[in-house]
Amino acid sequence: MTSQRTRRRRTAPRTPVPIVALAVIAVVFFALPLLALVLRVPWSDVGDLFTASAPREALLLSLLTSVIATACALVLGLPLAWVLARTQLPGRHVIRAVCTLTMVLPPVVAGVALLAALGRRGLIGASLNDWFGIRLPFTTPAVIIAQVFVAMPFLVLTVESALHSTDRTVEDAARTLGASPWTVIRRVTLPAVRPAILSGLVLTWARALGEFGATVTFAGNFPGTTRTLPVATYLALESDVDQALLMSVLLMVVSFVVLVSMRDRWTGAIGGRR
Amino acid sequence: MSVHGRIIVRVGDCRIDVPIDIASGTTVALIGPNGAGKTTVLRCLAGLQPLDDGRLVGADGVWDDPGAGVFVPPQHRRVAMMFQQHALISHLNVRDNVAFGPRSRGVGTTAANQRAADVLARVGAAHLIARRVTDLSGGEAQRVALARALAADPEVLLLDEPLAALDAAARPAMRRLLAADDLPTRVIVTHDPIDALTLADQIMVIDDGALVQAGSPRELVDTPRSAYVAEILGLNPLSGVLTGDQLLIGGYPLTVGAHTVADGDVVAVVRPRSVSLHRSRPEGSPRNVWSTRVEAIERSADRVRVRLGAPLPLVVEVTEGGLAALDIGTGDEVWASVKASEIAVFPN
Repeated sequence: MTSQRTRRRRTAPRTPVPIVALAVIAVVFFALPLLALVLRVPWSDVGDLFTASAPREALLLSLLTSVIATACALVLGLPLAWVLARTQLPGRHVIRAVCTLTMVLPPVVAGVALLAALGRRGLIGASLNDWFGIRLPFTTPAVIIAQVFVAMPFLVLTVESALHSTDRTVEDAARTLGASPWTVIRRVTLPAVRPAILSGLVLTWARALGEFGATVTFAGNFPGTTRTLPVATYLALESDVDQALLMSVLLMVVSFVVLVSMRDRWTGAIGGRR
Repeated sequence: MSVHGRIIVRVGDCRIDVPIDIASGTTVALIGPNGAGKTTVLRCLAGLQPLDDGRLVGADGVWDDPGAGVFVPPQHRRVAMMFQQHALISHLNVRDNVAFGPRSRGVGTTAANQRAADVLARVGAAHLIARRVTDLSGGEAQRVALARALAADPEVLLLDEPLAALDAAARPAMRRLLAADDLPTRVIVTHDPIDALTLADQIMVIDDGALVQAGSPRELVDTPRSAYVAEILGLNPLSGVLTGDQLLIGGYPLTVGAHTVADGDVVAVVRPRSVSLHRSRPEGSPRNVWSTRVEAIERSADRVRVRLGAPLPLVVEVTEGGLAALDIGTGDEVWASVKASEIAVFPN
């Protein structure tokens, strides 16, 4: 009798069969396409991927633009997260909604919006063209702008959440100890939210790397200047399926590495606490 | 450093209006119930909460004067604040936390680290210097927090419930540290009357954002201006009707000493230490002797408070040794006595 009781205490209650069954279907649903991708790849041609100029060009362009976009997101996103988390600015809920909308917006719409603003006849684009002769659409900077536009919200939300959950009395203590506002930010607040900043950066970078819809719409697909790896992958499907498969696997591996390296850290940061 | 003026500030629904008069080198205790505004007063002194109205003037000049548009931010006041939950910087180790103040004020790394070591030694925490703050016990963390505040070399030390987060075993040591003679001017927020009475030169009783009474511990104990002050100081206030030297409390008669209070409704104050407890009916002089039961025995830090039942709901303070000699427990019958001269009465 006692042994039965202890055994029951140790094991979790049995999970109902329908839940297990549906969960298994969900796992298969995710794993099957990824497995198919890996199996279909012509592994013998992997060498070609890096010798052929088109995929290599696309990969380099993707890496370059996504890293610059991530840096831009950091420079702009940190102050934005700060303002959202730490000020009593009226209407900051509206500001937050506006600044994170692109995260849920169809990327094509984001691209069209960028065209409307920065296109040659756009709201600002027309003036840029007339006064400075600057034409952004279909250039490498346009790729970066598109990536920042859709990816920055990941950084903003992650860091804002962390800023909300930091212990403000620690900052107060630092201030009474003689620290200037800048010193408090540099030596107390930023180190405290460092894990969240790192998570936000990785998420932002992964989103920028995978950006497709807004990039194609606003930047087009010119080889060498705007044809990023996702765009090249989509185009290759029509001409060279094997190459598309190889590039897809490449993107998948990068994403997988990112996910594994984050593991529990990102759920912690987004949830606000561990 | 002396600080004086008047703090007027609104925080949420609570309006605070408290006169401030802190003499240089003294210890001032702010006592009152939760939500009374004690911590807000401390934050105003620190500069973490700007005033809405009123004025704060330190010995070195005006700190805060909204009318004149003057506000000295925290880092330019020579104050350091110690928080209830120590508020140590978790990614820095103990030494770097303590060196944070000097470093922020431009002291070089070597000198700041030396200062950290010195101050840690002074609070008996030299052995903690290389530890991570996340590995410290509550008592250790609070010591380090005190060291960090002192290392900033403040003229005024603000302490928000410095003992509340500590367990009973860690309190006496912290209490001794806070009572040290060589500390700067201190303002201590507490809800514990014993701490206020033992640590402070001046006590400010605050309730609902207002100063109820200020004075030395002696003055407050001898002449609490209201039943509320007596209550908050743990002085056993009892309402009754006075006729000459006879006081009727809920039908039970007591004899009181000389007084100048008119007959009628009064509040009587019986200090917890002036009541004696006995196993059997005591012989001798006390005029007020009665039999009662022990309702509860409470231990806080290094003293014992015995709560008595009908006819007089009094709290009696005894030493641990005194309690052991009496050999009484909760529910036991006990005789209590108090001298007439130990019962103070105030008009209600």
